[in-house]
Amino acid sequence: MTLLVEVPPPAPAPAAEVPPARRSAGRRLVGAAAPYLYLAPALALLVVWTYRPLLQAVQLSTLSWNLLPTSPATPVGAANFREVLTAPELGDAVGVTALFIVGLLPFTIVLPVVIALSARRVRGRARTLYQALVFAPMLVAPVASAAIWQWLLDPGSGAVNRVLGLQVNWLADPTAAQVAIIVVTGWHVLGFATLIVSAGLGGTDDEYAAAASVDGARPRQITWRITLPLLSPTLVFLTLMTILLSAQWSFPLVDTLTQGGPGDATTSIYYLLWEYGFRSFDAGHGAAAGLVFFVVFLAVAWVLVTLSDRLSFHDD
Amino acid sequence: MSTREKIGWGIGGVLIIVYCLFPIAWIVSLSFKSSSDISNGAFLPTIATDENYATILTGDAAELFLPALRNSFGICLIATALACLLSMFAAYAIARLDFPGKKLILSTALAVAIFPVISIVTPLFNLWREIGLYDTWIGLILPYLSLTLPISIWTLSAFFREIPWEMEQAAQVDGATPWQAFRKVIVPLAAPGVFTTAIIAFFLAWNDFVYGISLTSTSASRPVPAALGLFQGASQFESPTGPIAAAAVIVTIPVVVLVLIFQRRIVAGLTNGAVKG
Repeated sequence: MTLLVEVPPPAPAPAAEVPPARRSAGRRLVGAAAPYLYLAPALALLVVWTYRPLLQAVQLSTLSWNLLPTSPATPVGAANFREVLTAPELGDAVGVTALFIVGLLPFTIVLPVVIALSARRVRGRARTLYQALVFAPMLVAPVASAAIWQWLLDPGSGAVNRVLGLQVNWLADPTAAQVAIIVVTGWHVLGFATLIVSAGLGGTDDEYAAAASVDGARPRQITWRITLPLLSPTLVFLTLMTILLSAQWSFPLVDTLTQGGPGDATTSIYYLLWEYGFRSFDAGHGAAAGLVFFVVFLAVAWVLVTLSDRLSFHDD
Repeated sequence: MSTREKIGWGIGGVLIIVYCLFPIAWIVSLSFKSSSDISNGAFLPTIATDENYATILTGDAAELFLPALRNSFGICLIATALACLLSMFAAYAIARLDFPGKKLILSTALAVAIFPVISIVTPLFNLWREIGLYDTWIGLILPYLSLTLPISIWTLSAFFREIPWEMEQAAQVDGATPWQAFRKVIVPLAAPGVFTTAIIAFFLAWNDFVYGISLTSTSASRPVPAALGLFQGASQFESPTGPIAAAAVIVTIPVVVLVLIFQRRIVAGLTNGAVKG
């Protein structure tokens, strides 16, 4: 998520860094190399252990191989890509992913804004407590939260049906399962999104609201005309994260609650990819799908970042 | 604000808190229920029992759970320590030094943060088997570093930019040795940033699921989220719910304690990094 925010320019180097007039060539070389030496260990790790597997994925994607060291890997050219792009389940998975994204937006944008705005009306310790309570679900490991919800959603003795007075078999009915995955994922990410919105609110300048208030603006007008526009970079950032990461956030819950089912009702792109790689043990297929996903992901991220620069309202 | 509006906000706030906390309260309650009590649907256990905790800590499930707990702590702590150390160097260079190619290098490094993990996990699985890192601690520490380093570098450089580095020279002018200046002036100023980074990194590693289930196969390195997943997979029809609940409580406690201790600092860290950018 870090790529998406512009990295501000560095503070100017302190005056003491100015080199003395006479320095040996060797010393100057070390001086010029120093920043790179500081960065080298972290960068080396990232490049080797992230970009290298990605390159290997390119190689794997042209093979037909079941990942077993003993069985032969046959080169098949671009066949894997053709199969991935024409697979009927791909369209469904894209649809499910889109549904998750749309379903999660209320939990990552609307509710966090409401919570953060209402938290502003609370003062002092109660406010810290309120934020901490909303933040709590984020601390429950996703798999652990899947375990809780499995019981809350139980059609017989589950609390959800009893509290709402419903008779829904949440994880066995396709639509209900989709709703359940969205609500549980939303429960999990709500705290994080609220934290980001609160931080964004803290960063906006109160003077504009104060000035508008002096000019006779009503609280509602201030919220809609001043606070939310000032918050727009944060909201765009969250929208972007939701679009890019919905499938990733829901993955542990899908894997433990529904295994992509019933049918393919909760098989998102992310889950489909994981199935290619680790259920059907078709390495070539999985790698090709992974690369397609990666390229689409980068393209979407790039478009969103470009758009976000235009959509955001900056106060400077 | 009118009274009616106040009441509206109040009810909304309470509803949100219930939505957030109810499941957590439920699991704590489940973890104290006896096996006969679990499916009765009542919120409170009829008699509180510690049998679930006994099952996972000393009983049948201990073989699965305890090694996983040890692995998770070991792997996540090592990954966190390394991520902090490496990102301290990187963030220092980013915040204090100016050099050609800085922006390009930074974006290449940070692009990793939005990498879909799933795209590289299959090749990584294959690579690990070839070089013998599959199902080892190092085999998880390395991917956890690539998971945590980008955000660590980012958070920490935001902190480091705020440090008044001139004070180091001021201290030296006042007669401190360079080491004293570093230890007495710079370290205390940098500590909050390093703490925040450590907690965020630990949190990311501790909650990882995909690497955990894909790159391990035995209790030699399987972390808790993966082990918990196994608890559940095996229990599709006859759930050992009580033990799962107890395990979930135990897994969540370290993170909750960390966050409660450092809550303000985490918020400050995210503010510096994420939004003010």
